[in-house]
Amino acid sequence: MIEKDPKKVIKKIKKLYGNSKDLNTRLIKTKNKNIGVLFLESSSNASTISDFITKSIIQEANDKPLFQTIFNNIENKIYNSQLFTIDNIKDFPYYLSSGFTIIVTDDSSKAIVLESRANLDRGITEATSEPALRSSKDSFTESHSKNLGLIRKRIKDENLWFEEMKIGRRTKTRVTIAYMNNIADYNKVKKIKAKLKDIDIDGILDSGNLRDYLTEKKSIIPQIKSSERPDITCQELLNGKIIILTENCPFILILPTVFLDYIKSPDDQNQKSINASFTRILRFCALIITLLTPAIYIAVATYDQNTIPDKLLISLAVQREGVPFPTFFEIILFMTVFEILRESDIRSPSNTSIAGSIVGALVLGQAAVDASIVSPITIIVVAVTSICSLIFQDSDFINGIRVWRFLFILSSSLLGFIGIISMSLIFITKLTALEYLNSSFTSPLAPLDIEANKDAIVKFELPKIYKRPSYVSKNNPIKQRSKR
Amino acid sequence: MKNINSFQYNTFIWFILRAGFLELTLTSILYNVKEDSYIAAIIGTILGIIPLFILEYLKNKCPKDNLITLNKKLFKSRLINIIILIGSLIINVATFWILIHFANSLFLYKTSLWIISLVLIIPIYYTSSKGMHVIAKVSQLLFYISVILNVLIMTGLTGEINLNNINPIMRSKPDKLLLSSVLFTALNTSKLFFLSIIPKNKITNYNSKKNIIAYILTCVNLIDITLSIICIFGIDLTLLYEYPAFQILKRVNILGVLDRLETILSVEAILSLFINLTIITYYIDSIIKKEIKKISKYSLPLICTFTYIFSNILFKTYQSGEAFISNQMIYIFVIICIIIPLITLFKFIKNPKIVKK
Amino acid sequence: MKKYILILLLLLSGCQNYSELNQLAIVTAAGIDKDKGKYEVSVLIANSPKVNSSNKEGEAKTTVYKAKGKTIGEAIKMIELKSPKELYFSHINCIIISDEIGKEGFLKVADYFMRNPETRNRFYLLQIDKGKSSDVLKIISPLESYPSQSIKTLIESSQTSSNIGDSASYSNFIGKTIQKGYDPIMTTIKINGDKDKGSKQSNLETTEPNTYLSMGPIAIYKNDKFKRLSSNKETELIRVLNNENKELNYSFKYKEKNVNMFSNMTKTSIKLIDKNFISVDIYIKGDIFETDSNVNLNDYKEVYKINKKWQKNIKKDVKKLIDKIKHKWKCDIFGFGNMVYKKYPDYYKNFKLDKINVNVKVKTEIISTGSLTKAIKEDK
Repeated sequence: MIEKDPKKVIKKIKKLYGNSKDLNTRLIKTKNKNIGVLFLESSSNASTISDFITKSIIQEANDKPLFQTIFNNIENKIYNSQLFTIDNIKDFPYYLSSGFTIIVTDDSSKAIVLESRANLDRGITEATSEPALRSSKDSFTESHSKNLGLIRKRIKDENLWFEEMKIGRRTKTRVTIAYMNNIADYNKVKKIKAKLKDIDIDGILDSGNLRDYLTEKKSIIPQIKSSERPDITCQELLNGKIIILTENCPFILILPTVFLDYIKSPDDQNQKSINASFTRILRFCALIITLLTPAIYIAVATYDQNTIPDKLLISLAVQREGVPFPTFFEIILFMTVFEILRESDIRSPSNTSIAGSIVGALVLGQAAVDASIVSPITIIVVAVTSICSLIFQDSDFINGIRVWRFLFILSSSLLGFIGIISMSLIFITKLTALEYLNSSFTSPLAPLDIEANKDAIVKFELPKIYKRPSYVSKNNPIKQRSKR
Repeated sequence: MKNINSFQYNTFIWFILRAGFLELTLTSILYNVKEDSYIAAIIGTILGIIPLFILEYLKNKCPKDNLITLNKKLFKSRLINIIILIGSLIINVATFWILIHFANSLFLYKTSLWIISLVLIIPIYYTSSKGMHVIAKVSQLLFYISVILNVLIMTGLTGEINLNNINPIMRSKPDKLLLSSVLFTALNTSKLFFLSIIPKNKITNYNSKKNIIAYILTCVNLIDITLSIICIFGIDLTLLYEYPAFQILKRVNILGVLDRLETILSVEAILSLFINLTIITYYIDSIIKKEIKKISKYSLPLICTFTYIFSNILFKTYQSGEAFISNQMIYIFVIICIIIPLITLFKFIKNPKIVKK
Repeated sequence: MKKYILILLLLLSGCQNYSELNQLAIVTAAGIDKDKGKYEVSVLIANSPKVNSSNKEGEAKTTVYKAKGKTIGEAIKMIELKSPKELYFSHINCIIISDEIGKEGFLKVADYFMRNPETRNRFYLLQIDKGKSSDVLKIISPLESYPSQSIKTLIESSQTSSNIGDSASYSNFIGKTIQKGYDPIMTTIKINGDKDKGSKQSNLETTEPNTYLSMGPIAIYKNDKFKRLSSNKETELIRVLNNENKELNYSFKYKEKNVNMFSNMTKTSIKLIDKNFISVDIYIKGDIFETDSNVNLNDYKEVYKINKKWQKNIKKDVKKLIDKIKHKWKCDIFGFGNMVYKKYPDYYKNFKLDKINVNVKVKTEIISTGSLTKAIKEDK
């Protein structure tokens, strides 16, 4: 209910906002009737309000049913904005903060709500965290409606459904679940919705916050991939996956994600399939390298020296002469140094990062070897490991791999190859035990799905992929009909 | 229990047949029949179809039950299942002993068995605690690795084979030949019995034909390994080594560039033993959960501790262990894995109605 | 929670196999001598760092340690006491024994190296022609950047002409020794020049090295006991019969002038025809390499005649060699007995090496006479 006295309403709202200066209120008197106009200066566009709204109110505010007149006036004059009425004062803060103008009058217990949003978003820019050579250049922004638009623009089917809900007691963040109605598994959508509804927190500011609520089983490697590219998003939508968009966050969540999704790159869809397959195999090797190289090096250098060829072993042994630390410690030390370098490189402004890399490369690399704090091979191992880890774009994934790499280092420094074998069996078990909404994390390799393997490690030519991956959704499996 | 698919089931067959063959069975067979080992393996393959058929018959006739529930329905007493429990525990200990001794003599010859076995029991405990569908998926992933390693070994060894070494043919006495082939069946094929824990309706696209093909392919692979060992070393040198199957890995040389691969290639043997051990552990675990409900909460840690301790104190040297397993323990294998399923089978044929209730 | 307990358990376990690379003394060669009834073992350690560190990887100095003991193991234990680092046998390339060890029986010595879990079974086994085996280890080769690898390189580089690598390998020797009806052979190594000068760094600095190593004749064994050395010509033929020679250089007289034949393909197959009958087929394909006779090589009849002569000479030599093996040496180095055993295992008891008939067939083929049609001579 809204009181029929604009004065009181304005007073009440002002009190609610604690007399914040950006709350702009107007009390317009025409004859003996009062019209109250409320908007937040910070989030609405002042010129729209003064040019159109106030004018239209003042001009023709003399007829009898004031409320209806204003509503009709605005409806007839201002076309490209949302316009509706609300009848609860509790909704005021949400609309005010979203940049709406609220008009209250004496003769109605309703309020007119009119969109006068200020443009607080940046424009659509190139994707920075997932660069690609041969793909569309746009990326999601902080604007929710723009993001939805970027998806709609690509999929013009009416079966692309958006379901919106507001999460966060204070932030009231708009979260949209997007899916293809007749492709996506509806049970999964229902489960995700139920999970999102259960969230009762004061604020959700980023899609990363939602990740924790959606995860089913604990794991270091994330089971939900995030992306800022609309083209990947639409590709996944067409495969039957479910997308979660969050307001004010350019990163969307893709559900369910399997392990092999992390080795795919945005370019893969648009390249020659042989080249795409080759790079995927390369990435897969890089994954194994970045996971295991330091561990294997430690195992080989301290337990199973017999695996190294003669000449290499001799030169390695000579290089290590005079190094005071055990190999295990050397590796850990330099892995840490590298991680610090990487972190400082991300956090520091771009003009200081050059100095950082010079210090990192020259001082820590060359000088440490010359001072025989580490052997050169350690530097090589750490460098190879780190370069391979930089191939992957999802930062959570890299960090997850980092933890496992550390576990592998630990196990191999204790028991050499047997330690590595033991740890990798645990690793494989952990990966296979992960399941998200009934789709196994290691599919399509285990359980084997030959049809889905056409776009897994190896990518077939597009005309040969007929079916959608069955581990995502079993509805509507035909992706492409063969003309023959 | 979630469903597994038939391909995963076939990878179980692959791994179970391989487990322990290279480490133990092959050595005993070579010792008994020398050059004719591959003939023993071929006869063993044919003999092994018998336990396979028992298994397939029981699976097809009672698709809802695994062997434990079937026994419970048929006999109405715990006795048979308790015998299976004890026997499986002993088999588990023996298999685990093979694994740790192998790791000890090939990787960490100075380290004590207690530490090695501790490290190796952890993944077995962890994986078998996750349930059959996870074991199946792990097995499937490891199968790819196993096949790749096998292909590498075979390509790396083709240059070394000297076919002249299989002569003279059929020098050994027929009774010894038969004994060796029984050894092959009893120590390897019979362990397929542990797959009876998975009832048929839990396997999608279950097909007996596929299983037999998987069985035969695996056996062909094993015969191939036997042949290539004899062909490469000649019988005299083969008998000299403790693990001839891994001495040949030292000769693997791929394209003349990749050398010294034996450590990486011998991982393959650990994988099969690992899968076998997780299946047996899971099997024992489910018997305990069915029959001795008091300790069902702690059954898995108990099994692992039991295996851990007994595998370390049972045998001191490889030779004593090998002799004990292939001379005495073989009866346990035969009783648990062949005779008990046969008893169940006969009982079932006499009154099949009990099961259907 | 479960996982963290597991990881903790992993952490608690320690390991005795741990050793850092710079704690290892990498042994790449070992020499075994007999001295006053005791074994004298010397090992070549590859990774001692250079004194004036040039900071270039791979350029390591080598060191030789020596010790005596009643058994091999005892002697190696003694070396470990002397060396500041732990001896590591996994990368051993070759073992050199003296002829005294060979005469006493090699299998006693072999046991240690076969039993050691570290050693690979693919290393070379050599016998020294004359002198002590420890001297061979000391010789520094001028052309090898890894001095510890010089013996291995020597063996492997001679593989272009002859495939010694196989017959010199350790497992091959042991395999032949323990097989029925086989007597092994062993390749020998020779020190040329002054052995004392060769062990000094100055050997590297002269343009013409004072001392160098080379491959010697073949040592013939009876079971595992050294019997005798072969002559140079016999060595080549033994390698041809063992299918180890790829290149054969053969000179003979034709019309009282020298002809030198060079063949780059020889192939021998030894087959058992009957219990007492073995046929040896040799096929040689080659070129006329050098001649000083004035035979017109454009004439195919002459070439044919030269070929016949070549064939006849080789056949004669091979027959002589086999006769020598059968009656004089009595060592079954080609495994005739083994062949009989494989085909007629029951008859093998009655097998005697000097009773067996060997039929030698040689087929030669001249494929080219080189770029010249006749010898260069003043035909004025």
